[in-house]
Amino acid sequence: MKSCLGSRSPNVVSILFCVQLFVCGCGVDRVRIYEVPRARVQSSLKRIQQNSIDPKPESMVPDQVLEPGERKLTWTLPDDWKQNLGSGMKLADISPVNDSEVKISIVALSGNGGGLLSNLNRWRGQLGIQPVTTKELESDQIDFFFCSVGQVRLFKLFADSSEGQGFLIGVISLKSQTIFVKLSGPSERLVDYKDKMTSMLKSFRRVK
Amino acid sequence: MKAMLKKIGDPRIFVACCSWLIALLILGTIAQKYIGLYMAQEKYFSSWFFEWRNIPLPGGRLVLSVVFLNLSAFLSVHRWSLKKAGIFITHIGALLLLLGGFLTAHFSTEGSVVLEEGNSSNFVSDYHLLEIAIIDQSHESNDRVYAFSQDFLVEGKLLAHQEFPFAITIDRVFRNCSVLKRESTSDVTLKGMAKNFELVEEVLNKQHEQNRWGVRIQVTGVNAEINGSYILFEEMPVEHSFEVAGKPYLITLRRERRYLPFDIHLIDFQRVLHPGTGVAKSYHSDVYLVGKGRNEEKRKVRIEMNQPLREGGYTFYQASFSQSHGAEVSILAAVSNYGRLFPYISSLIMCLGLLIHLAMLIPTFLRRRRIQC
Repeated sequence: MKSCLGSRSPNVVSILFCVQLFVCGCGVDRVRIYEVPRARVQSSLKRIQQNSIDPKPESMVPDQVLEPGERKLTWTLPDDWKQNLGSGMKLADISPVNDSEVKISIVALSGNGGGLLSNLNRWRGQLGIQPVTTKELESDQIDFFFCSVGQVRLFKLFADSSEGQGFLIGVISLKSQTIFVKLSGPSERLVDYKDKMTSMLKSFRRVK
Repeated sequence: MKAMLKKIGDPRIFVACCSWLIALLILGTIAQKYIGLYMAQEKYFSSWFFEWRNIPLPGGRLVLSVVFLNLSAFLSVHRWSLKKAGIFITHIGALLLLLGGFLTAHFSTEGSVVLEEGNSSNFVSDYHLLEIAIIDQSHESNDRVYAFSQDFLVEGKLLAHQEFPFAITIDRVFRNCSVLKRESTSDVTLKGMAKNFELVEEVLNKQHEQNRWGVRIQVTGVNAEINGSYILFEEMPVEHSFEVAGKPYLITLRRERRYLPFDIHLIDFQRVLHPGTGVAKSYHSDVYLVGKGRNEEKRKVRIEMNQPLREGGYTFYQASFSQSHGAEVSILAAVSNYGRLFPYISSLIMCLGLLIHLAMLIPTFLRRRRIQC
């Protein structure tokens, strides 16, 4: 063999250099345009709760989307309750038409929302109750069930005094966020509203 | 030209580059303790230049490019001979190694696929790169996505396209931010979540993937109700959506997505423990691969530790899992690397070259020994 790359050798090096520069230039300021099917959520949990609640037509769906292409989250209002849509992380405020002291607020936080324990202890603090540890956390949990979007845990936090305030808190854990549904008001009346709260939590679902 | 090639192919350049590479390796190793692995890689090895006390110094990419040209030029100008065959083969092996590194640097991708039991996914989210996605949701079953790469996350950059009737200007970029409640909400130019919240710059986390990126953007070209200043950050609980000319649009800042030519459906995730301990023995995910354009053909596959799945140009490894939200979630690492085989091939070629070179030297060595005896 006379020479490795013969008389073409200078060109080969130039070509290699040009290729390198060209490829280095690729990928800068890219705009990709494509179409994807809207995400399909086929949770196994969905099957469990498919016929648990007959959804009523939504009058209002909060302006929120979890993932691009994913469907909006909504719920069914209890009878004779009214809803005000929120802004930012607060999705909505809901209260009975004839009871202004009781209110449900629905808040969506990304990830685990700062942790269940820290949130529950914060609410315990608001009610003047001592914080709990992870092991004691379960003592506050009064119910556990599924809605069509995921698992729901229901917690009861009541102030120690007989006329104190209390919270019933539903926690729905989704893939990328956590929904906190907090029913607040006088403890005595919250007991009466528990079933309505549970029905509402079970009605959480996604709509187009 | 040949004289110039001779200069480029000077072995002294190679030695100087190797010395600088050793220095870079030491610098990068020390720096990763302070700035994290990803940032150290980016600063010292993936850059053309980096600054050290306001002095620009050559980065790994530049040095390796010079080594590549140096070796190419060396091979171009030197004549082949049987005597030098071993050296040439070794150099070709080294060139291939650099070529593999080049392919990896430019075309490899790393990301994750998050799968909840019973659910499917068809995209990989990049570990590091982000994108601003503008999603046209006016189509019945499909979303049309305009994904602007991370290179657009520069202050003053304009994001516009003839197919959507508004423009977005990047006002400010936060490499790590927290979201704080705004004290005053009277500014009418603030829209969406920016009305009540503002982004505040935070100190960069050493673990790059733990930084929460955020941007403040200006939307223009629609009407007074929509035009204004918005904020976007990773994992926003509520994404911005508005309607322009009858079309609903979503804007989101997210990890760059690459769509797969198939769906992965997680049937079951299993974590097996050593009996009587909490120590994991193995993890595995049983998945269906549901092909597209193949009559939705289904194939059942098990992905476990040390037994990845190779499909569609990607290698899927069992990387992590989550059981915190009741349902089990399997997290697969998805790696696509066209230069994957180059290190193996080039190492073999270099070994072969060195063996040939040593074999060529044996007669000379024996002759010298005989003379000495």
